[in-house]
Amino acid sequence: MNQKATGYAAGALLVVLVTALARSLPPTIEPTNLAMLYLLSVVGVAIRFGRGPAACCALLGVLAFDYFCVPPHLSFAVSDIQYLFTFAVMLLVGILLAHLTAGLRQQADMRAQREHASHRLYELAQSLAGCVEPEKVCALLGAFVKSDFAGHAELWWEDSTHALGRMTSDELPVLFRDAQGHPPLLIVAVMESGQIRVQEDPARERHRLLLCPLDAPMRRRGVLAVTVPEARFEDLAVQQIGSLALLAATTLERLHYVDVAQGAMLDMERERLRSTILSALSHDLRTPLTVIVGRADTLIDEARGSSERIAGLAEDIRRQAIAMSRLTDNLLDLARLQSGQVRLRMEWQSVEEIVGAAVAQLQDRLHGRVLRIDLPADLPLVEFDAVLIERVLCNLLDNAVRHTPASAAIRITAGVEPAGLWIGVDDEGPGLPEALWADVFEPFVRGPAARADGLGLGLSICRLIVEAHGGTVQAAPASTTATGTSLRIRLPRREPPVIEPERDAS
Amino acid sequence: MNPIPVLVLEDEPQIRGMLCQCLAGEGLLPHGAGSLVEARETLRAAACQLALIDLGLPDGSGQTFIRELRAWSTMPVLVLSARNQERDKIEALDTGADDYLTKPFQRGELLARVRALLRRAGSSGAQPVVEFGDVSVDFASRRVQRQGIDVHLTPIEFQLLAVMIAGQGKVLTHRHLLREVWGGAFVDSPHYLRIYVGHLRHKLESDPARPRHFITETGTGYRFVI
Repeated sequence: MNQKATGYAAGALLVVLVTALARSLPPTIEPTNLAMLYLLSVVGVAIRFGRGPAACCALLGVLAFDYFCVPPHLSFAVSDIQYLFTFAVMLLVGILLAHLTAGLRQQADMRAQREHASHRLYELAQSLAGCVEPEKVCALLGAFVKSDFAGHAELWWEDSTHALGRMTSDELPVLFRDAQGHPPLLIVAVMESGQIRVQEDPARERHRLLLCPLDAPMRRRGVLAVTVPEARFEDLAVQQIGSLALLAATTLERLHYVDVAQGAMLDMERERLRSTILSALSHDLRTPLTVIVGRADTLIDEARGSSERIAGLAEDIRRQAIAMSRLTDNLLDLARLQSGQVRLRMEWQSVEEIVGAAVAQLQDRLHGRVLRIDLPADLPLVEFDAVLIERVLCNLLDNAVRHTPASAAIRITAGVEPAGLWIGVDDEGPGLPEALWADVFEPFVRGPAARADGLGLGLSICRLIVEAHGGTVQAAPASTTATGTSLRIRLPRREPPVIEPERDAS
Repeated sequence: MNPIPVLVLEDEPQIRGMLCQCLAGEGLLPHGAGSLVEARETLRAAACQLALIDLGLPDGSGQTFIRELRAWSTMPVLVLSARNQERDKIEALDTGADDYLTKPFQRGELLARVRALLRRAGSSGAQPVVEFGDVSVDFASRRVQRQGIDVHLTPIEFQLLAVMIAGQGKVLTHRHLLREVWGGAFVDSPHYLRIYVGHLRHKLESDPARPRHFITETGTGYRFVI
């Protein structure tokens, strides 16, 4: 407003000066030449102050020219009629000059402004490139909006759990969460539609609110909310804030992937450490046990025949050492499995073969027991990790041996369901109290008849392994005998691969 | 007869001592070594006929040593390993080891394996007729009999049986068997092996679910025991 008044005053002043100059010149100079001086002043005003003051200056110039320079002097009356034509042309040229000059000037201004805006964005992009945390991104955006638009900026950013979180650079937020703590509906709407939204700021007087989706290359990461005083709100501002949003989105996405990469690195580090510790522990526990078992074996051999008592003691040492080794295996397995990082080596396996291998493993423990293996002849191949499922079967068998009297028979059965395969170990022991059916696969839960040499780890390892395969474990009373327990595992199953039939020539 | 020299490559001194004692008690001549460097020296000094090798060593892996050894020697190699080391075991076997034992092992088992490996090394090779349990296999006429009655085997079954008998006493990895019987294109199709070993067990074992000859080495392969 002030600027404009200055322009008009300056125009008027210039006309006064030009008139004084014209009056001081010798009267031999043709008045028409003096008109040029007035036009020159119009150009000057147009360049400096724009269209309005220049047009005003042109009009004043014509009037002053008439009054002071055209005879009769000091009168608006005109002696020669042709001066009327001069006035008309002078006014027309003056206004035209004002218009063109001001237009050029405006364009130059606009260009300078745009250049400034690009430069500012470039600077911002440079600072964002060095950003390593979202809070800093938000602070930079806030400072930018404040200095260039006298407004406030706020980022609503989707975190890894897809919840929209707010980051504000100022103490006063642009938009508030609702009473339940949900993000504002406006933000949610822009997040969903992906459209830029411009409206009155409901919270601030004479402010415009601009909501820009943060569209990063991979996906939409959030919304940039900017509130700007109405006076500063122009087309250029909208464009610039749009670019701002793009820069912010790309930066936030970069930060997100840096986070992901760092997380993965940390996981890997942790996993490596865990596996190093477990291997070292496993090695350190196994070495003395190997020596004890070996030495006890030697002692048994040497004492046999001479001192049966010592041979018996050595036998006991050996048995305990082997039990200890089994316990160590279980503990280490549990640690490995509970970390959830066990990689399954899935291969098509024969159930009969794996049952046979488990029974062979437990040969010593099963010595003297009645063991029946009832497997259907047409069991298909099933995909699983053989080493781990063998471990499951060993633990189930060991559990049956441990919890039943030596006279009780143990039975291994299996069957196929449309989408699964089950393997069961039934015993004729005293049975499991109903209260334990659900808990028996939990770590450190032991049956009532458990002897002191178990920690109740075996079955929980079974459950972890089977669940890692996507299967289930189940304890129930044995169906075939009056008492006893039936422990079953179920593994998911898909159609086995085709075996090319063999052309049998013989 | 001079005692047979045996290399015992194990970095844990207590286990090495125990192994040496076991082997000496069996009439063998054990040479202990705690590292690859010591083992190389031992092999230069003594004409060892068997090697017991632990996979984790301070100056390198047992697998490296087996590879070196196989470049110039066919002496039987028995690997000592921990449980949960299936990958290492398979690598050692594919590199040229003949058998493995998982710690802690029992003395009887160790000595049985050692004896079997030495016997294998000392035998003159292929025999025309092999008998195990109540089965006899006549390679010349490709006839298999069980309890005196002919058993029909398909060509692949017979080939598998022949490869297993040829490698008796050794652990034969899945890859090895698939390559020998079906060819290199099948090394990643272990389901063929599962099916065909099952066939052999059903035709030749008295209780296929508790095999006595076609033994499963879970996660690594099979072992044929006469």
